[in-house]
Amino acid sequence: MSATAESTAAKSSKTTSEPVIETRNLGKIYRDFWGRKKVYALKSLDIEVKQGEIFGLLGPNGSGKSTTIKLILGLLFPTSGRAFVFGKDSTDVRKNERVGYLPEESYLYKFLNAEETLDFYGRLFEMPAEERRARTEKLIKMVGLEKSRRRQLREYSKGMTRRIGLAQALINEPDLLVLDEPTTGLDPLGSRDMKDLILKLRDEGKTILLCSHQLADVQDVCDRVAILHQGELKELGRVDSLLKVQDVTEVHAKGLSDEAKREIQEVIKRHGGEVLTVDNPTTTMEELFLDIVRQSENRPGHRSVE
Amino acid sequence: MRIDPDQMVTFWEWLIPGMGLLNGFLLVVTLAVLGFIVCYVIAARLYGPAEGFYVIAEVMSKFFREDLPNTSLRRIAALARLAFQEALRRKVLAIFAVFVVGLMFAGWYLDPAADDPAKLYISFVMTSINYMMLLLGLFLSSFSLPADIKNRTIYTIITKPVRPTEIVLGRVLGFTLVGTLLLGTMGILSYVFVTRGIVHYHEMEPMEANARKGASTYDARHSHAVTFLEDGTGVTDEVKSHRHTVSVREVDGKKVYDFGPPEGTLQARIPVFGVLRFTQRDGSVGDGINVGYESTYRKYIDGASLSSAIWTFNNVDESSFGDQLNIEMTITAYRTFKGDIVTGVRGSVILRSPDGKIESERFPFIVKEYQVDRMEIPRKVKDSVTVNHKNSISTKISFKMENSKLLSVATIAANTSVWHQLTSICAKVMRRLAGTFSRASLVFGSRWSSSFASA
Ligand SMILES: Nc1ncnc2c1ncn2[C@@H]1O[C@H](COP(=O)(O)OP(=O)(O)O)[C@@H](O)[C@H]1O
Ligand SMILES: [Mg+2]
Repeated sequence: MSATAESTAAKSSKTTSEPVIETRNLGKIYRDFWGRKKVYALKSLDIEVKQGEIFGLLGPNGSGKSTTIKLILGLLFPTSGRAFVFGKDSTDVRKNERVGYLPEESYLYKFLNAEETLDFYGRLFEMPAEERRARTEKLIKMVGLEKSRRRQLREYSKGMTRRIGLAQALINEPDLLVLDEPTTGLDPLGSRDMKDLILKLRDEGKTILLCSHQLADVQDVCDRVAILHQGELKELGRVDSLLKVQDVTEVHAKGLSDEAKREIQEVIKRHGGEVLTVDNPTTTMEELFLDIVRQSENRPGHRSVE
Repeated sequence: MRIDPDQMVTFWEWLIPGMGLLNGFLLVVTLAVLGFIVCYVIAARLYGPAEGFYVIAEVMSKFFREDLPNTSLRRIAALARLAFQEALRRKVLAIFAVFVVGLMFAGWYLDPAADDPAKLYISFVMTSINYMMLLLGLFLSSFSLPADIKNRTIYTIITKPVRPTEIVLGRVLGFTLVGTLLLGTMGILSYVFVTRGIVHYHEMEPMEANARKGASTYDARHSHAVTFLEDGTGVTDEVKSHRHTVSVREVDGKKVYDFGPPEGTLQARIPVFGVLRFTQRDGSVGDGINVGYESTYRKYIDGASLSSAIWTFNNVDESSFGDQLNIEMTITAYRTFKGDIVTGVRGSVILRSPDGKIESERFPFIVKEYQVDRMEIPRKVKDSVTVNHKNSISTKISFKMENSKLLSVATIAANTSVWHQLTSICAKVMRRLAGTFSRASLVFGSRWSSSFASA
């Protein structure tokens, strides 16, 4: 009864595009055993993740990405502010029905093998045996672990552990997938597979929140990013618009002679423009990122561009 | 006291009338209250005394409003299954291996020459199982969940729709299962070990044809005297707490004697606690003698005098002992004079009716130091008095030193005013099948024994 009510609510939320994740003034201070303040890991974060998008949290190590994710999942209690997932408080257990989480390192039981792991997590969702078997089969195939399905996880390499971790996160066919550094530990090929998979899941209508310190990942898959540094939000926006350099014009041309190039440069000069380089400049994520980090170190607490 | 199967307390009798359930409930309540206090102290530290209270109240009410109604048996079962698998795969069974190895080597060290090997074996397996289970419980519970938190495997659990109650209950259930299985297996192994340790057979020593009495061969460090009854079957005397029955067959005109397995070794017994008092040299009521640096409960009585130790037992009647009263006693002698130390010290047991008016004949015995003296007091005793333990509420047994042979020595002792012969009267530490020490040793301390064993 309530389940159907909820699912209709979910459907309607899709149409009205109510944010899947919403954080309000979210902050976290890690304290030591005696309650003394140790680290200000996250400072008043406000983000919204919308239905069906891939949202990336980008930042150097220790910038508070994992902390943000844990707060959103209710693994940590916020020091200030609140986080909402599907409109429910982050500490509400019921939201977990629709959430999948791939932790930083795959925190799985090393004494289980791949099949047993998936079966176990399936049981936690009270899935019937039939369904568990089918999903396990499908997920093992999907993450490419067919050959080692009966081996205990203690024998797995880092990359394989990542894969089973991902499979575990997908066991309940979640509407929201939270991935903490999904590509670390994967070889370039695995990393490519992971990214393709993330895109595919988005196309299936799932919402994905991921964090990474690998710029290429974020550039490749994310629709929107938030850049964190030292626990502060520095930048938030669409990847394509963030990477667009406003006052630079790109001209792609082919087969120009040196003569023609010189002529074009003259034309630019005549119009008061300045020729930067002759080959095409594109700002990469990397540049943007480094720029922001540099700025932030010079002027802490300042939010760079809007 | 013999326990017939119908006298044993069943599980259900233990659970409800025997307060088992109530005690368990009280334990849970006590722990809950303690937990509450600890949590409150922490919360009060973090949020202040008043706020801390609200925080706890909030958590509690959330537990009852949300956690409890949404707790799912299937998730608990899944978590219990995990705990079970974890225990098995984390080589918890090593404990089991330790036990088996222990059993294998124990055979070498448990003295089959002991007075009652069955008791020895049983107490060995009982204590070892106890400690094994204790270790198991300790390891499982103290490493499992904390390890989950430390390794953060708990993250992948908590982010599933799992409630804290389920995590805890799942573990408890899983480990209970592991414990029960291990306990069961160890129990079976122990049973085999004990029975194999005690079972032995004898043969007949050559004897004259048609003789009524014979002797068995010396096996398992003892032999028996065999008496043949009218019907041709034989019984042995009781040695090391058991007897055998002997049947006779004719093969090729020769008699073949078949000994049965030992009987009476594995019988449950419960201790009967008595009250001990003493009479002094002149026969007047007084205290026993403490020979110094002994447990205060251990008292000696003076030899060759009117000293005696008097045990009073309640509830000694026919229903619990049947046809004979079996007494076990361990008595030590303390000699203050190096005379003839080879000859044993003598003593005797007298039974007395509750009112003290009727006394039985003396049952003499020689003190077997550091060993169990066994006596079987028949239902009918001489001195024209039938000690009728049928209708009595209490039967008194008094114990007196005989001064026959040791009289002269005793006189010397008395002359030099040194205690000559003091015989301690000790409550034999009786063990039940459960292998627990009875309280007798704490209450009276003594080692004289008065456990009544069944025939
Ligand atoms: N359990 C913890 N206790 C204390 N400090 C922590 C804890 N977890 C993370 N931190 C600190 O919080 C900051 C943010 O960490 P984290 O969110 O893990 O960064 P990242 O962006 O690399 O995921 C770091 O300075 C880290 O040292
Ligand atoms: Mg991290």
